[in-house]
Amino acid sequence: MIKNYPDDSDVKEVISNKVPFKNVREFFQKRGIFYIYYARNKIAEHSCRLFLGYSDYKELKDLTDVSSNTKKVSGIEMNTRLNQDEILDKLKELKGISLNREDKLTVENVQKREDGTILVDVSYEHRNVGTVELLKRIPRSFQFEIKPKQSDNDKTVIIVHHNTNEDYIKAREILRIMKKKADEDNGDEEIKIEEIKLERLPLEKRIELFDRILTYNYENWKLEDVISLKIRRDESLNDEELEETELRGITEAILKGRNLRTNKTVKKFEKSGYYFSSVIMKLRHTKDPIKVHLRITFKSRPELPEVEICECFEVTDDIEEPKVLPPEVQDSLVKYF
Amino acid sequence: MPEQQNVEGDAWLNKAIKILTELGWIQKGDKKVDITANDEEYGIDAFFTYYDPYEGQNIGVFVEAKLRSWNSVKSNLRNLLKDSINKMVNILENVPYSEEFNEKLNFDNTAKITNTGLIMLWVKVDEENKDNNYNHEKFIKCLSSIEPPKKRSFKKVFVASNMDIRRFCSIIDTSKELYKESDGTFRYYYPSLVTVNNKPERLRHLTLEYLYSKYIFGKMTNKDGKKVTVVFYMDDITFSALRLMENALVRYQLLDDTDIVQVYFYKSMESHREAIEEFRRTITDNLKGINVELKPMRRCPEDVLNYWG
Repeated sequence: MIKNYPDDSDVKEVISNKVPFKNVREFFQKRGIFYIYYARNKIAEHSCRLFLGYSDYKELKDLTDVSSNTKKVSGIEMNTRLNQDEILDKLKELKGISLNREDKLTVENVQKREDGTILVDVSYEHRNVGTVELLKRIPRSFQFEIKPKQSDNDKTVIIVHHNTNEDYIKAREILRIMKKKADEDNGDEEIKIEEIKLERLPLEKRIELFDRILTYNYENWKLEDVISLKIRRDESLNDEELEETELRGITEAILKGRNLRTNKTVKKFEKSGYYFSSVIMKLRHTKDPIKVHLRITFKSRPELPEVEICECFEVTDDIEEPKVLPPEVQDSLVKYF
Repeated sequence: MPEQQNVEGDAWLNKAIKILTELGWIQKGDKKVDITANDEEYGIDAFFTYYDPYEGQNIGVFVEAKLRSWNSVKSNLRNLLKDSINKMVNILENVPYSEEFNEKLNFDNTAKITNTGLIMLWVKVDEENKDNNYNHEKFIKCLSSIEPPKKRSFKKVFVASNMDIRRFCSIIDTSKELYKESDGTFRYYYPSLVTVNNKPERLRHLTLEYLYSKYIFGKMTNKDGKKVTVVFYMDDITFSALRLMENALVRYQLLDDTDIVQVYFYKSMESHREAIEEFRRTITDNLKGINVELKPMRRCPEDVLNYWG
């Protein structure tokens, strides 16, 4: 929420350096001003003289290619016969109280959307060693969604909009607290929380998962290239990046529609006990002229699955603004279990 | 039919010229002038100049007036806009460098900076067929989808359509009233900007940047001799947006040496009463000693072509 009217010099700086060229031009075009120039500097010099309004500056802020603007999500699953309303009630019981004395973990707000999705706003204090104080407390907040089950036998999918790994851990903590209460209230295991960990699957299935990720028919997106693949042997060791030639080989095979597990290189890894842990895919939208680099990672320390848009492009190869894509892809991904 | 179109087209050009003149711009030379540059002929609907306090000089604006009916453009709006913009860019690239330019338009070389164009597109108002009227969402969509050229020398082309033109007329009408109310002391106020490091100026005309801004500041002395700061507020009427404007007043020192602040709202005050009341309470609290008045701007008829001016 912008409260201080920005100086023209600040606006000039933001337009010159923080917003991609294409976005700058489009921003002003929507407002009826066409800057016929090839670089941002002069455009910034002139456009900063406009006295823009509240939603203009908000829009400008959203266009800045700051990492907090790139969308990423992680996910957890719940196995429960409780329906959305019952889950909503359980969460409402937790609302407003400090669930953890040390970090003041609090469920700030719970609401149900028209489509049945439950939105939970969470706040907590991140504690770290500081310079002025010994222990610095930084307030943080994030949101997670509990999506309605597709059918009665399905699992409930939770999507966490996390900014840092700690957010994911806090979301998990809240779910565990909710589960504990539900189990106690009912005297039986009402909720089973299942984290999406690669290591839950047997070895072959781990590779198969990535096969499915890469060959899946996403509604509006088509795989164009595989930018990077990482393999892992042991959770305690670092992941390794696949070499260029190996990557090329696997990518070609996938684009031709072949199964990953039949690939020579992949077979070699499998034998040595390696499996895929992370992939960056280049996807092309089937209707709009947009491409994204989407990264799907199964982190190991801490353990959490993450889907992130690393970069976005418009077909003319300029950068465009990020879209809220991950939830869709995450949804389809999680269904594989 | 072509004659009728020409007559209507001329009527719109005349109206456009009137609007820009009322905004304080100075027309130079005749309307509909042909200029030859680099062996090509360019038709210039009108050429205006005004002093830009942030350039510290007079700038020249090439104006093109276009009149259409919604039916004739709705399926082709994007191309129409694209072609008009490209045509204007051609004019900006060539005309200022021709000898005829100074002979027929830019007399005495009044405008030193000639890199700006304005396209005034008016879509006729159809009273009978309500669907056959200007659609602002569609217009914006077309505007954003166009890929304008990228040139090495800086140029700007402003596109104004019904929505903008009605706003201009509303500004003109409100200003006229304020001018009368203030015994002729009302002026638009151009604050000092950091990037320009200028002295604030009070002028009787509006620059293109001000016309496309969400706030226009003004100053005047009213009949009781009180100093008034005026704001034409074109932004959304929400509490956050209003507070931001209040902060701008502080930031540009528009509350120093002022007895009264008059905010004129362009958007409907009726639909946003809570936000306005909440704002009135807070600003009155914050600005102790200064009277705050919140009023609507003069509304402009929908059919500017036939019923305004």
